[in-house]
Amino acid sequence: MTVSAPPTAADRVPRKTLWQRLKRDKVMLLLCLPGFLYFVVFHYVPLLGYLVAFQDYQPYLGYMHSAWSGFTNFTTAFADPEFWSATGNTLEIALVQLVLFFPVPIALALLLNSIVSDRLRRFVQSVVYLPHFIGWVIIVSIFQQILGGAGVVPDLLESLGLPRYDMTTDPNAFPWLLALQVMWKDAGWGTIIILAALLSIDRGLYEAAAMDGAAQWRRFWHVTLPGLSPVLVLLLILNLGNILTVGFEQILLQRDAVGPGAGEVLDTYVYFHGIKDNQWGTAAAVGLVKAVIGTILVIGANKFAHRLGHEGVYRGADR
Amino acid sequence: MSGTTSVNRRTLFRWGAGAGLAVAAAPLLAACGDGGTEAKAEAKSAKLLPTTTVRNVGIKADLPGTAAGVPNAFLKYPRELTRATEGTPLKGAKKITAVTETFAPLPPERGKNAAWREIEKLLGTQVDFTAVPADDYPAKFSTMVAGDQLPDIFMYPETGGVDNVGSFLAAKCVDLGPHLSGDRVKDYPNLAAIPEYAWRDAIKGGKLYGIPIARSGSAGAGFYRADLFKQAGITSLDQIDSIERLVELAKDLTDAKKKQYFFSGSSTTLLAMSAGAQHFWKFDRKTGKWTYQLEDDKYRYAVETAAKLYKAGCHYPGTVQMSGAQKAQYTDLFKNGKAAYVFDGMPGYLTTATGYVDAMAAIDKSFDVRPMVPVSKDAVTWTDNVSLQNCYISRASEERVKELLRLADFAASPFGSLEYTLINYGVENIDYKRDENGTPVLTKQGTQDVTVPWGKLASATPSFFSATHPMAARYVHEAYTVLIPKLIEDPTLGYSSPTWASKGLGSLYTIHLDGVKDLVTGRRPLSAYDSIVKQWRDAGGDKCRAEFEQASQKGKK
Amino acid sequence: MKGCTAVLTVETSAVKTRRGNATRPAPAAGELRPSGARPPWMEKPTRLGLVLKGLALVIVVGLVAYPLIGVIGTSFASQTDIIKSNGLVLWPDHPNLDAYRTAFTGGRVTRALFVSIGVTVIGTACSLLATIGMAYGLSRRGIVGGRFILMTSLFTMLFNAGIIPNFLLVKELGLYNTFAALVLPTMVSAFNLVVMRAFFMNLPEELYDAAKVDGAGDFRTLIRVVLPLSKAVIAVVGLFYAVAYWNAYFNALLYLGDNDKWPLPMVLRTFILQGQALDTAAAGEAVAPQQAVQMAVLVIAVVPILLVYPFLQRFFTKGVLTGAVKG
Repeated sequence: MTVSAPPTAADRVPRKTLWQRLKRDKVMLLLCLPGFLYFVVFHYVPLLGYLVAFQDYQPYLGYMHSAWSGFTNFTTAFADPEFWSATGNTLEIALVQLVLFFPVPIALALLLNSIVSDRLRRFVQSVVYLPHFIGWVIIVSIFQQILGGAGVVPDLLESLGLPRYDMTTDPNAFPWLLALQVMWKDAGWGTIIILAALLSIDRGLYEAAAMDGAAQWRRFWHVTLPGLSPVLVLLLILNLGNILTVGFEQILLQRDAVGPGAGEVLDTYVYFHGIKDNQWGTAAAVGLVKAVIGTILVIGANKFAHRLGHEGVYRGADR
Repeated sequence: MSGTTSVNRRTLFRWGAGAGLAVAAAPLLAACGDGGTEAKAEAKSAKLLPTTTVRNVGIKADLPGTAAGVPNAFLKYPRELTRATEGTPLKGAKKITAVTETFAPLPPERGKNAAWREIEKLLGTQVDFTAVPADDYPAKFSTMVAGDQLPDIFMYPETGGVDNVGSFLAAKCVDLGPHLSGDRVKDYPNLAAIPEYAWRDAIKGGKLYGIPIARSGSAGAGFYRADLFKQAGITSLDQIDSIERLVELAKDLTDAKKKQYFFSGSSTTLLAMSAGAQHFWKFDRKTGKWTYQLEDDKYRYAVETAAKLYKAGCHYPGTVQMSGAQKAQYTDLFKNGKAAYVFDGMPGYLTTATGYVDAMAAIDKSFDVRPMVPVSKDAVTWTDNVSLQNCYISRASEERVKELLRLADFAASPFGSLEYTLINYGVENIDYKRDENGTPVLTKQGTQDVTVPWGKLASATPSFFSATHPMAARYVHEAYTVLIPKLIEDPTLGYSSPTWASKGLGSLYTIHLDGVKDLVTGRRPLSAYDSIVKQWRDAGGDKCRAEFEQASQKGKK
Repeated sequence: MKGCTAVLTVETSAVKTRRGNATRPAPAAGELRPSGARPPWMEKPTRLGLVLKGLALVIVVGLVAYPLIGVIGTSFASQTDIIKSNGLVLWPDHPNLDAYRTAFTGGRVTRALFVSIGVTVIGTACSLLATIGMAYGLSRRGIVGGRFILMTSLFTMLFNAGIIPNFLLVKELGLYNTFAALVLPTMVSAFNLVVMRAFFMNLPEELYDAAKVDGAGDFRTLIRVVLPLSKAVIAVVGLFYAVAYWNAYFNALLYLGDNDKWPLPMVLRTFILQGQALDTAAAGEAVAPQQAVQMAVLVIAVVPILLVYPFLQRFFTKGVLTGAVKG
């Protein structure tokens, strides 16, 4: 079922010279210009800062005067078992979040979208997206008050004759706890983009499907899902690119509750072994490794999406 | 997975990624003189130390301090305010820029801030502060350094900073030795009252660079509820004559059914000081050997005892595992009456309104909170609160340096002086009013006006005073009377090790604390103690030891 | 394209078959469904379905609302209320405004509020302009260098040089201590860019073709055809930008040297961190309970967003594409 992109206006005309194409596209390119300049100036120029990954960087010396250290920053990190343990934890947490959290806003958005009454829908929407604005310190303390050792849930378990169970200090439950917290905080917020995608589906398609006798489930399968898929695939790919970055502040607050064995992730590793010692080079080296892996994952996932006939994030060489 | 989540992830990632210089011209080190960037292990020369003297501006303490370090305590605020500086100390000086951390909400701008204006009038010049929340200060400081935007005078961050302080200071800051060492400090009498241990910590890279924001030497041993102790038959801390007795008491005062626990937060520090364990490093002058806390059997015993207490359920669940950022959570549990003991620094005791005394009195009059001291006959006190940090002066002309030192001298004015009163209480009748006992009470405006961080430019040992609870000032004084004689020497004040300076309280301390938490909470068996010590030694601990030993060898010659 | 239903640029077998099914008469597209009514194709739900849906909604709203009410309740609570409830106060016995008074005395918060509103409004406008232009420019296949530009933008999501290089850049551009430093360094988010582009690409190709037939240039097509049909995504992306500007404190911390210029989140942060004070020399009397101030600060930060949201919601509920392509 691989299908190619439909022929576009640009396709039908015979191949043009570069100059002709530039002339044809001048308005489009001009519209791109401010944004493009922004990315070059504010994102690519500072990338030279990655040089410190190969330095023993001292801010007061600047990068011209800091000593070069070759690959020492990388080899130091790679030789440290803690680094690998942190990498493992990061992947575990990210995967649990991807599996557990990713579908939640979609389900919630579909639920919201199915509410017929405008007023009710708006009310529910306004409530569920609010937790997004609550800081992690507060969210973590709320979770500890409810799930923590002296909290509501252990009390409840005890009154039911079950052993008290404290999820907040159980290293095995840590990824699940984090996913629950992320769900509470951002599931509502995540619906916003899905709802916008749902609204962009042509209602004519639903009407046509209904006329063809497609029942609710079939309409979902043949109209809603295909309509959502470009955005879902996009989100999924972008998430993959960030897979080595899991909520730093959220984890830093709770790392000690489960110990570094389960709670150390790459970003906290960098914090405790790089930033705290003012080893900017270590931090940059790990950051660079993360970025390279993220890039590979995005490119790979995007290729995979194309195979399935999706647009993905970007489309490879057309013309 | 929403747009903002990914944006947030990236904002946090800022710390994760590195740093560097892209377009700016590199700060020219050569122009700054000293070129050496290699930090060296060395003994800190006593010759650099200023001659310290007790400051007397004519206000008699109700409970006088001692030369050994017990601070003054006051039960009444002086009616007559005396001057601690002369004339208009900065008359004609051009505007001064200062950057410090702060724990308070931002002060109102100068135009709406009577106290700020009055202080500047007295100083004779304008001081522009950038006050940065303490949590954010390390990041701000790094960019200030990299961007070569250091102000005239700045506080060094409590955590973070730069990797090699000595050569940073050599490149960017003024050596204050020629202004302060020996008797030269007499030009700045308020600075001369800063205790010697704090000055030792202001020597970096073989020179005296810092102006200490001095503290009492010891942060104390936490706080306890005397009313609860009394219920268990303890009317004087002397009755707890051994660690075993403390363990017994902890079990007595824990009742999980009633959600009542003995400890909120960690118990290790109290136990370790009570057991007589060393603080960080110990230097044996006879053998020349340096040993670290983790290697001390008494410390190990304290950790094992803490694990036992944890198993017995004497800690409020979850609080041992809390991180520093969650401190408010476990101290609140204690303030709210859920625990009999909490470990927190002494400065948190008498603070108006939010301190332990005031906050707990507002909650329940029967709560009788007092400073704890280490128990048992072997108990020691750690030198763990030498200073908040140091302030440094950016390179400037001789004359300018003198002006900035006079500003620091002003900021370090002692309790009860006009300068101290302006800094802490503002202007009479606008920022504070005197009550019937003559105690200054801040007005609504006053609470805002006095948050200008003058006190972060320099400080002598703080005095203790409680307007609301005179008894509490007495308790602090009593506690220090017990604590100070038990104070053990901190050899790191006399010798420096570059590895310790960069990693000791960073990644090495992380290994140390993580390990102890794992052992106490039973995540790892107690038999894992040795492997934690080994991990710490391999990660740089042994290197620190070698450097310290080298430094102490050199110091002998 | 006359007389047939709209075809999405993203193909699926379902849509394709429909496209082939040319005999089917065009549906009566064109009228917006009346607000609050069931769309004509949707069958009446079963009772069980309704109950399950209702239950799900109640659980979701309950889970979210409980702590939210706690936040608001605590912001009005007295110290005793907070102790009694051991944390979150749902319904304070001694409600008072102390926490809000504490936050607003001194005039810092009011001033910062204006700074934040200015930065958010101007910043969102700039960001939307740049993002819409770029997303539209990149939404057509085959643009010269289009793929390069897109890839270049996209990978900025994965790489970040860190605080110091960014700071040095801002300083060298002369933006240090200017409000522009709060807008320019975060002007376009690659995430928002690709989302908007995906939506633009989702518009039926026929629309673009029709505009071309009518003789509209690329710019005219954007203004006349694309923008009116993209209100939902513009509202969404605008919201993302606005919220990002509204909540941003880190750039203000690094790029502003002057406390007087601080935006709201930076000023509010000083209230929250106060709770961790180790070393406060003298705070005031009659200080509101710390937890109450924290929650009040949160409420102050969220209320403006709450006020703007219903306005944006209007764009979320209209059937955007219905009848866009009719015969």
